[in-house]
Amino acid sequence: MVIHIAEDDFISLSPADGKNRELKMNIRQLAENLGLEEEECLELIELFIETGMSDLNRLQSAIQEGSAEKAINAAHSLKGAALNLGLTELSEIAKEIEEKAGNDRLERTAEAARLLQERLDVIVDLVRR
Amino acid sequence: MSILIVEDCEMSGKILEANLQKLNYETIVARNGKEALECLSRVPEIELVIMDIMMPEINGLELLAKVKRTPEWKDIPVIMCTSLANAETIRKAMCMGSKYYLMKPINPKMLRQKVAEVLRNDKPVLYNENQIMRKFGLDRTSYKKIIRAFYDRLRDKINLLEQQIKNRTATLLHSDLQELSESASIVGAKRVVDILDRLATESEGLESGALISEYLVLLRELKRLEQAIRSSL
Repeated sequence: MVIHIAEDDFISLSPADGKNRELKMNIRQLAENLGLEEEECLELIELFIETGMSDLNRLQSAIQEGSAEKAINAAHSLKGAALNLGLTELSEIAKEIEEKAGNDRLERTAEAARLLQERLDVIVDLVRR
Repeated sequence: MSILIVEDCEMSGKILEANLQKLNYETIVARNGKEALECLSRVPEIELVIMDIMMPEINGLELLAKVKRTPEWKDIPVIMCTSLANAETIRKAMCMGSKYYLMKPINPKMLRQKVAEVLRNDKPVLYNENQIMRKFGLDRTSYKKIIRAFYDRLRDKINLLEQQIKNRTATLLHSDLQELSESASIVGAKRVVDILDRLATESEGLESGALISEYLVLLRELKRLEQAIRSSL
């Protein structure tokens, strides 16, 4: 899996090549985008991992319980957190879940939730390794 | 000057807080609408509220309605900061009295610009010491004496007003308002002067419930002034 910097994104995920994993984070650019110091950005990334995992757990439980409202809240929270870091792909997946759950199609969100888990796992792995 | 941030997403809260603190604003973060209402009741120095919309229990639009319905808070400017890009929600928020509608992800430049714009239109709670000394040709000792005396009178008026609001008896005399307005004018408390002048001309026709609402607005402003003077003494 290669993570590279897209022109207007902080991080974007390219399709997995199964062998090399590379993480390039343009912290300086992110800091500038957010009006923060680089150190504050690193704290934010850690916070994103922490809250992202917790939102994902909430989302998965909500899907299992069949609670659209809880799923919308968890997906919305993840969408906002991902948007803050310019993780547009992750944020789009969360948005799709939010919209489907809002349109009484919660049962169709399982695949997107799985994708979300996969993407989040990659980021956690790369940031923390 | 304090800015209340109402944001359930910890990351967004931190980004807003860090950006505003860099501009030397004091910030208070509330995690939901209920906490925000508590902060507004407790902290009279809040001069601006920046709020998210999608929050559990009390959402941003409900909170905005509550703020604009409450006499002592209705003049506090509100900026919405959300990822909800729905035209109907934007229209609703603007109709309900939100000054700006900022989209997430947070754009620091836009945030700073809008906050400065909103706060620039606010009159100062109290002119600074040098401005007042220069205006009235006072030296520092005379200024301190005047401001101390004003502060004591201000505290008396706050107590009186609190008592009247509690007993729901709106009986401040015209002479009380005028006297307070004159001394407030000397110390450059323009916002209090504006409220007192408005009360002096409009209070006669108001029924007691409406008058109590006006007193609540005055009380909040007097408390802000008290706080500003206390920190300058």
